[in-house]
Amino acid sequence: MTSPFRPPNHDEPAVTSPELRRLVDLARDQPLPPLRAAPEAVFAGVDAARRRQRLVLTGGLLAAGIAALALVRLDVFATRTTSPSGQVAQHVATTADVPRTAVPRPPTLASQVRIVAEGETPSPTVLGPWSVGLAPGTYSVEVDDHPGDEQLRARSAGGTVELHHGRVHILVGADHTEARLETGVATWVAPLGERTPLTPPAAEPVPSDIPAPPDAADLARRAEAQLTAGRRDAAIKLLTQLVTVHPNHPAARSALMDLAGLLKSDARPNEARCAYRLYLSRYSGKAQLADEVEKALARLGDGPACKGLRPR
Amino acid sequence: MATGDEETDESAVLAAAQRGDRAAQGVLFHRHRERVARQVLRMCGDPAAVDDLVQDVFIAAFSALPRFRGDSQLSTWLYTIATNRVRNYWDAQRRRKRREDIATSHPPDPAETPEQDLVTRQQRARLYAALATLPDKLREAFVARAIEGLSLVDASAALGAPISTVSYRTRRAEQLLCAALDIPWRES
Repeated sequence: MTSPFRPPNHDEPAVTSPELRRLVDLARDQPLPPLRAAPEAVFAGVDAARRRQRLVLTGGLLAAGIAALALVRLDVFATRTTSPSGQVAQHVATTADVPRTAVPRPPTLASQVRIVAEGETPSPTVLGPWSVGLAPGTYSVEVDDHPGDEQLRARSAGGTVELHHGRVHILVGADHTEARLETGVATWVAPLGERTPLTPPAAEPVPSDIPAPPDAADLARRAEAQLTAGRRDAAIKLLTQLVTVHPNHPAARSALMDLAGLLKSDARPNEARCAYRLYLSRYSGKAQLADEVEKALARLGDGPACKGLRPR
Repeated sequence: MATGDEETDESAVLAAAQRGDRAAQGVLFHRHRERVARQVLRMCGDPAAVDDLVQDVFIAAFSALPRFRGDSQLSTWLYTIATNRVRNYWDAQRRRKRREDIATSHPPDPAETPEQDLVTRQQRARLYAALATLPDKLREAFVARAIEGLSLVDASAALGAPISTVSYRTRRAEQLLCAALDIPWRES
């Protein structure tokens, strides 16, 4: 069966099959349950969201002021606080050498994060260890690979870039932002919350100096956390690592199914097909889910051969 | 079709709501709540999830209301927000289902809900189980066009996709659904 592209007819029916139409009518006529959602609960939710936003903004302003103050003090204590790496601002914010003041300590960026404001672009506002506000301009943002789930959130008027690791180039306009992922894992979050994974121009080379891989349970937990947060691309990466590094772990089986489903819903049919085939080859003796996998493979249709999880 | 007075009223209420007037936001909530609830129910098929999703949609909408510029109708804007929220719900459901399927291969016992019309419920559940196997974009297009009954133009605006793309995705979704449900499919 094929469904080739053709020009749309504005009057075309949404459903042509009478049998499917009948099921659709049942879904359409499903009665609404009694609605308990009340405006008061919504307003409370809005207020809570605003409080969080206000805290972030206040923290940013406070951080900017305190950072300026700290830099002035740095001159006085320069001989004691300058770090060999030259990361002066971070050192000031984290060192115990800085004299205590009555004001709270400003937020500082995590050590894995580096941001370069290019040309006349103003410096980013540090809102927290993993959060910055970007003014109009051009930024090169880099986050080292790290074992935790933390992601840098680079917020601007046009949207937010979430970068787990890698390097992204961000161009911020007055109400429009463009992000280009060079390497790593990142997600674009539009102002209304729509999430789009950013993809690098080419596959990342696998670093040869990877430390000992995290254990399977840790990978499963982190993948679950990423999925809960809606960061599907990061979850796919973690699940891939789990099923390849720990193929015999009990968690690998459900992880492989999750991975296949995520790849399929992300419109990556060749990779999804490989994941399903790998599932069948690994768990051929298990009846559970085999039918579902076979059906999923049938729906995906033919495709290139696979080497493990990768299409050839 | 709204009359001129209704349109004036709607824009006055909207303007007040954008300024943060809680009474106006309450009016918008009551005016659009059922439509949003119906949409999320038709998208997810789970009555138990409707209240939470409706609440999430309006929290997101009222938080972003000052930035609503009126490029589309408010209902279309709400439709888009609801679609994004339901997409997150689908993700969570998929993960839960995988774990349940692996833990037990027994389907839910239909006798658990004897008060319902069993046949109708089973058929509806069959459709939603098949819908759950579709890629999100095909699923959204099919729900918008077939179950919500939106025109191609309205579905295109609500989903932020070209009309031709919505048309293609709807047909492709129908094709895949028919295959999943063992229903004969013939392209018109």
